[in-house]
Amino acid sequence: MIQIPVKERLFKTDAGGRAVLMGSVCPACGTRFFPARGSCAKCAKRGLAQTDLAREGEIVTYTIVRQAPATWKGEVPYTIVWVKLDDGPELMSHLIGARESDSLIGRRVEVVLDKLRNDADGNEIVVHKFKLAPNGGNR
Amino acid sequence: MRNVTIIGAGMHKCGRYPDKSYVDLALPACLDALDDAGVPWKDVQSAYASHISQGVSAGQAIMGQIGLTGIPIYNVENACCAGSTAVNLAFHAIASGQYDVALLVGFEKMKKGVIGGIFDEMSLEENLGLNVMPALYAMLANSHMHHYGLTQEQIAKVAVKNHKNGALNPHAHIRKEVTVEEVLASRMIADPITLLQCCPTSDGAAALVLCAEEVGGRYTSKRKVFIRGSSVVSELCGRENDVTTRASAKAYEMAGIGPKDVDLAEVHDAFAVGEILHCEHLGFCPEGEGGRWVDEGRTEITGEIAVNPSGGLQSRGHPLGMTGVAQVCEAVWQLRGEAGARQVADARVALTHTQGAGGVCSVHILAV
Repeated sequence: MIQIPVKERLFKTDAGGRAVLMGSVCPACGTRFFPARGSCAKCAKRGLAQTDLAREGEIVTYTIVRQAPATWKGEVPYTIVWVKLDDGPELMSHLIGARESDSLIGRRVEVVLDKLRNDADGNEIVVHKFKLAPNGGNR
Repeated sequence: MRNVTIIGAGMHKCGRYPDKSYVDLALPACLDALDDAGVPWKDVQSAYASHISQGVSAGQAIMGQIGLTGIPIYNVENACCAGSTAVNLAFHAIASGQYDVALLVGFEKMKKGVIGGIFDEMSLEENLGLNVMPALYAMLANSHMHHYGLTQEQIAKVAVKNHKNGALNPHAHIRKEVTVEEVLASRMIADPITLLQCCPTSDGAAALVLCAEEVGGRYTSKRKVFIRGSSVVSELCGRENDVTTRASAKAYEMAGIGPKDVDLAEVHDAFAVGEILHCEHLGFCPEGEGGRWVDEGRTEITGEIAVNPSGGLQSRGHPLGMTGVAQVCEAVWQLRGEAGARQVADARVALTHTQGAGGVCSVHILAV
């Protein structure tokens, strides 16, 4: 079975097999972004450089979606977390492996790759998600 | 810049109208607003039509049913702020002297079900199931509950208040009161937001006639309602949560007033918790105190500041292109003393606020 990323150039795996998010950094003001973009949201400089982003971050807030839009084909409920990575970019994705009773705001998380769904040929479509960092993470 | 007044307001009651087209909703609202203003169509010099997804040239289709006079007609989309944006555009056009008289109409026919955000089908957000508007407000609710101790009961009380106000509003979609228990027991959409904390999906239309102050006397002797402040803002990098703070600051500065001067406010309560968060960011109460203000009844029609005396989006409904215009209609009726059972005593200054997907916010300040 083949694993296909949901979109190109969002993530990769490092030498140790761990998920790494790929983003942009502004050479003028240093702001970092995910996903990658062409010009800086802060200072509008063009020609941002590619960069690997921090693998860990903190949960800013979350919710558990129990009524999804008609276009969502996956399982319900699912937990969405809003994460601020240690090097600045903020993004949302699913949190996996946590219990509904877990207190989440302020918790440390790490980026992982996980199945989003299967495509028509049975391949796995893979996307970046988050897991609670073991033992509170590296901070 | 000249003074701009609103001299006419009209509305088509919100509800579900599967057999009505958007023209069937918008046209009567326009005619009612023109009649209210005493303005004949030949004197209307420009028209604005705010909607999100009603189709190409919707404004022309509506205005063409009134008269074909060749005037400029502008279609305006800005997510949930579309109607407010139309008011902002018409206001500036008149204030700058481009036109003397303008008509604007906001309208929408809504699909059922959970509403998404702005993201297209191919986007990462759509793929991840992040495209869920209640989920965004649910996340803000959870943060506020964590940091300030906001409770589910306080949020539910907003839904209760606005349903109570809506029951007094002949144009509201939902005119049935609810209890805190019913709100909290209704189906969970995205924790902690339950179904009865979400505005209904409704069809509707609202229209306004704006004119330069100096020409209004030709048409009407009703109390003049001035647009004193008008703002539209988008996101600022790194400060995505403060669109309401910035939009209201601009409007307050333009009007030369502060939050304490506001008698009533129509605030974006698509989700009940939104009203609490927005009241804090609009400066009506200190940050973190919004829940306590609801507990103390300070946002009731008879309270310190009447918030959503119309019943808000919670009970009037939220036909996307209509809402910003409907809020200003309510402000006009309140400031003229025409709000009937919902009348806020001594209403002299009103504020309207909408906030939309993609980081849009618009605030208006109206006064007599």
